[in-house]
Amino acid sequence: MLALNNKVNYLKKSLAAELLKLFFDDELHEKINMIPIERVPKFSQPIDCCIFKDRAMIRNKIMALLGINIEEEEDETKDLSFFLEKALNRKSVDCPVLTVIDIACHSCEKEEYYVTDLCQGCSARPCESNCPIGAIKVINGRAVIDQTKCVKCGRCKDMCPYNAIVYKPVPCESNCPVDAISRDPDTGKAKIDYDKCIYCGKCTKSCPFGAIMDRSQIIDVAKNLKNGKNVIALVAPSIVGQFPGTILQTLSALKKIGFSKVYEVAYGADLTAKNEAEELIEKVGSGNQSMLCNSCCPAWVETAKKHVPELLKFVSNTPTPMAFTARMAKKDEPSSITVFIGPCISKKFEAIHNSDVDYVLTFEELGAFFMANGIEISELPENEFDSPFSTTAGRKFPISGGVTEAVEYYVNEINNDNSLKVRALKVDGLNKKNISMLKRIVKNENNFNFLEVMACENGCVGGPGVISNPKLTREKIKTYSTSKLKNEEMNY
Amino acid sequence: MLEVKICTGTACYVMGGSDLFFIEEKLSDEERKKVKVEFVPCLGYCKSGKGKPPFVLVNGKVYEKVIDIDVLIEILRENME
Repeated sequence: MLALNNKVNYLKKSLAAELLKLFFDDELHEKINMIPIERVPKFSQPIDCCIFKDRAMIRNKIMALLGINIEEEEDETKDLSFFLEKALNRKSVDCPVLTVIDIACHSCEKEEYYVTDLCQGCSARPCESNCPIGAIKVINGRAVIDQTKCVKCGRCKDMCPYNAIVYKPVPCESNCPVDAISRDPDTGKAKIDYDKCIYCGKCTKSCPFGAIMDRSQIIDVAKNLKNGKNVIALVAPSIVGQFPGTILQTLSALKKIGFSKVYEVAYGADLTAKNEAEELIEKVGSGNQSMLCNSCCPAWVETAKKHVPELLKFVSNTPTPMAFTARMAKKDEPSSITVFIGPCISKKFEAIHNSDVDYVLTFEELGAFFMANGIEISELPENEFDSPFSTTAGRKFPISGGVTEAVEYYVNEINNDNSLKVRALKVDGLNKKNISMLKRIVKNENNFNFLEVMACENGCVGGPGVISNPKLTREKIKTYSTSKLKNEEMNY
Repeated sequence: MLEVKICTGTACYVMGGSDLFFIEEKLSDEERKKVKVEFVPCLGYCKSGKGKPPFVLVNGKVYEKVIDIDVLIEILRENME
């Protein structure tokens, strides 16, 4: 995957901030059609082949930021203000949560091992002798790989003394853990198969052209904030460390941009962990079931449904932290609009299927709101959450291993005779290798009774919508998790 | 002594500045003695049109769009000599 900070997500964040600033200043209608031209004026140095393609790419990225499903739009004569109108008039958001920007897609050639000009046609020919299937021959002094035979083991690349063989990936395809992306046979453009897609968002973070984006809901949220609606923010525990200043100053910033209340999803995570612990005791402790898997990561649950159905019966039926927190917010204020703010794209999918959650923003998108409103977070006073206090267990949920730790904590609390020991297997990030491992564990005798799967490496702190380096977030969460604890009775 | 000021204003932080927090642990012990790193509140540069965030000041010289910590390290090393 690409580095956390790169020119693709820089452009996305700055476009989002610009759109929101114009929107709050009542200038978006008038100026939206000009943004691509203002961003790429004539005689500027093009990034792609020419300024016109650069402008088209920006236009399409703005469409994705408006939440438009680009594949569905056939009429190219429509201008951006048409799509803005469409976005402002929609009552709710729909699937799919991702969209392919075909104009930006480079139509990468097939993934393969490729012999470069550095090949010297040497006498040792380690590439030829180490190929397990005999797919390499030296022809006219140069190694040639028979692509129809190649099994992509990479041994030739490793053995070449001249580093003449390289691996040429198709970044979106290579990073998709479930092979949900293919290239259209006619156009070569990327295509997502939603029967396979788990909405992990790894493709959005790996395409060097930024050709796959999640359909943003910034306009939907901005519209409701601007109209003075009662909008409640549900912030995921990984928000700690995503912004300058303290988490309690970030709460002030949220209120300043118009949210009426802020609920801490870490509190919902406590409820999830407690319920999951009870479920573990009931199902596994009783010997009825060999293990339990976490249910909080929607990309993992989709993986189980679509790719490892054998494991589905072990997935906990406990609602996610977002679901618990949203339910609480809607119970407190039935007419409110709830916005989950987190690191995650698959939560957008989960929210579409949960009527308690109206919209989802990523931290990157929230950052764009703060920039658009010119908010200096570190200068604001501290504020309090409007939900009950969370505990250390709930606060550490977004760090890989945190779910296990929390469930273990509650198992020990409920089951004080220590009759059930939690023995966990933790899968830190889904990739092709881990998924085949998950397929195998169904068949094996296992020595664990709890399976924690996090679709993102490092846990939610490594999600596709984060601003900060997971290392920084992890440290800040650890400090926050043990501060200001107030053990209230959990009576929701 | 090299004076490094890293802007921690909202825009700088969101646009990639949060990654610069590990600057000191990326420097060797020797190098660390030659550098004084300060995380400062918003310098106001993005609003006054001095360029694009994140901003870093190295001995008073403004560097814009510093989104890669390794690039910043190289800038510091060049200035140390």
